[in-house]
Amino acid sequence: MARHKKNRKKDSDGFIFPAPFAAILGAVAVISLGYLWLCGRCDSLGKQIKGLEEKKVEIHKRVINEEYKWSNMKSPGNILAMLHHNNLPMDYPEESRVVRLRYRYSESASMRASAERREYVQRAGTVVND
Amino acid sequence: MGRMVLVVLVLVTAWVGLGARLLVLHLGPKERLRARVEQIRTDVQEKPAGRGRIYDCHGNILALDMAVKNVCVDPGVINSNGHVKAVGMHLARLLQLDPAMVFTRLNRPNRRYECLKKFVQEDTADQIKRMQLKGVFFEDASARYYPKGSMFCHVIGFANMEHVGSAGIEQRFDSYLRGHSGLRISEKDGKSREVYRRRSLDIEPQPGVDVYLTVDQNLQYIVEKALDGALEKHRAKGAWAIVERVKTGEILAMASRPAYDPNLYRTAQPDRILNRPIGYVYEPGSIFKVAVIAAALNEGTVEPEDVYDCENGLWSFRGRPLRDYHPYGRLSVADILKKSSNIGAAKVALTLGERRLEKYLRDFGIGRITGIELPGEEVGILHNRSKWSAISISRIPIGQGVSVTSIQMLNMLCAVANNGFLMKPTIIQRMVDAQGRTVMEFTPEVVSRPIREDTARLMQKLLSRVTEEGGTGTKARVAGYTVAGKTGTAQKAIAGGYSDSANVASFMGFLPAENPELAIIVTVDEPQPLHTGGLVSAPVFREIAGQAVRYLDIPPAVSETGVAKLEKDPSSGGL
Repeated sequence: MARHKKNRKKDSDGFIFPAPFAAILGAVAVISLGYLWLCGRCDSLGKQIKGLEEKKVEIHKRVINEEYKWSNMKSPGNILAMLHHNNLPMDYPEESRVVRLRYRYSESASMRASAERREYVQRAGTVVND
Repeated sequence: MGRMVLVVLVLVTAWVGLGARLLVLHLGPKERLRARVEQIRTDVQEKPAGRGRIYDCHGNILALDMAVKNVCVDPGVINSNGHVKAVGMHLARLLQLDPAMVFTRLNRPNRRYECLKKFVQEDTADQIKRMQLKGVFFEDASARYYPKGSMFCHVIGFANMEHVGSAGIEQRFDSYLRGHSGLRISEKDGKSREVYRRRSLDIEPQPGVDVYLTVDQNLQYIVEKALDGALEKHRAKGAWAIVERVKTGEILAMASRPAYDPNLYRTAQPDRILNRPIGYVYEPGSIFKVAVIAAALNEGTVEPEDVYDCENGLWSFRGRPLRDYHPYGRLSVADILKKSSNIGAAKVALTLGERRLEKYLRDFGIGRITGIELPGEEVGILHNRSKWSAISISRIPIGQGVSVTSIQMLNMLCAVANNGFLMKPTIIQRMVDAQGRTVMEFTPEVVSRPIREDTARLMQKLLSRVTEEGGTGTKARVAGYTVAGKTGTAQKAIAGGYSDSANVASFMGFLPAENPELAIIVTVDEPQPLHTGGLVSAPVFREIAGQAVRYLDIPPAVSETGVAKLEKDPSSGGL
């Protein structure tokens, strides 16, 4: 008796993976991979942000240190010491060496000063004895 | 076969064990475990707020918070490596510590932590870092620094190790300067590093408000240098000075000697921390005559030309003698002020009477604080009239039996220079928050008007005579300017009377007398051997005022022809 051999090529009743399920699985896989990628990206960005935050703090500290040094250097005592050190004695000019072109004590200036006084009097809480 | 069964049994037992543990974890007391895990993973960080800065009127930094490091060591590691000597020598040199102390602390192999020095500046910490010393590590810290050192020490004060303002502006505006801490709640990974994307709360700290003062560092330097010179020259116990803008009451400089470095406040003696211009109460002596004579002129009880008998230097009032420093015969009221006659001033006060005298003194701000924004201001002593003795009316006019602070006296003089308006002295220009918004801004504030404008103008002229030939304040003259002022030499009160050797020498004045801009008071405590205000304090006044007018570019008075009045300056040899 001849053995009946199944023709697999003609066998159309085998298991077929349902296309929608495959699509869903594919979508899930894509979403999962996307999620993983996003997670990784978030992590790397988070690390980057943290690194920048730390850098900002460090730079801020350096700025403060430099401000401190600069402020210290700008002290009048230090400036004078540096001027002396470099043989550059400097001083404010004496009145006799100043030529004033703008100032003249005039009556109008006096009147302006009086107006300022009157303004003070009008302020609340002023006690006027006269 | 038996071996196979054994393997299967072991595997089954392991799986059952794991399953049981899983069940316990899932069904058991979850809350406690969850809380423990959360506690381990949660990262709560308080973000300290930086303390606000203090600036002078030109924006120069006077106080700021700096990021510093605490230098710590792990003696266990250093000992195990056998590097005690090398590490100790390097640290002692760079941190300027006693080597013996460093070695003692390193030679503790059982300890894992020793803090060698706190608040080390970043530069020094970097130097140590570069050496890569094993067992040396750093902790972040923040400390208050004062870049100008002892300059402004009494004005700024200091903040202690806990960042609490404990003197000066630091104390007075502590609540503004302090700011509010921020908070960060997050999760950390297995290596205790914060996981950024698990950050659930991040509140930024709110830094403290920056305070801008009215003081000017260049003027302050001038004042402090002059005081240092006076302290050394006159071997004085102390010296202090204030520079005030007459028309607004702004304090441009305030200095006190002896001083201290606020960066090293812990080593400072309390005596050095005292801000004498506002916190030292003393009997003012003759500078007090300004208030009395101004009051009498304002009331019209005397005229500048009225003549009083100054009794040749000795006058008995109600059985008690009153003496003049130099004996005088008859003096006009103008000359009483110029020559500073005690007897004359007492007789002028008698024309006023006790009631009016007390009223004017109180109007001038004697016996109450001026309200300057600094802690520790003293009220002074001006007793109620009911408590005055029979001779008080002859002693108060010469500055005895009454106690004041220098700021009160200067403010009183400013009222005379400011045509009678008594201004509230202020040292705060503005306060600015971290966003640059102005929180508070100073505006000139009139407190009272004790005298009329005509009286004030008359007093300005009378006070100008004090620095003229024959006056007591000739050494306060500034070349090119007319200086108005008053000298004062007060014996210090001791138990049962007054000291013969201890004096307080003062000079207060303003310039230019014709259009007052600046008022300055200089007080020297117990100068030796010279002890009068005219010889001790007036030259210091001249030194300060001479440089201040040049620095501030204050023009001298100009005559009607438009030519500035020039005077030979004996000290410089120039005009």
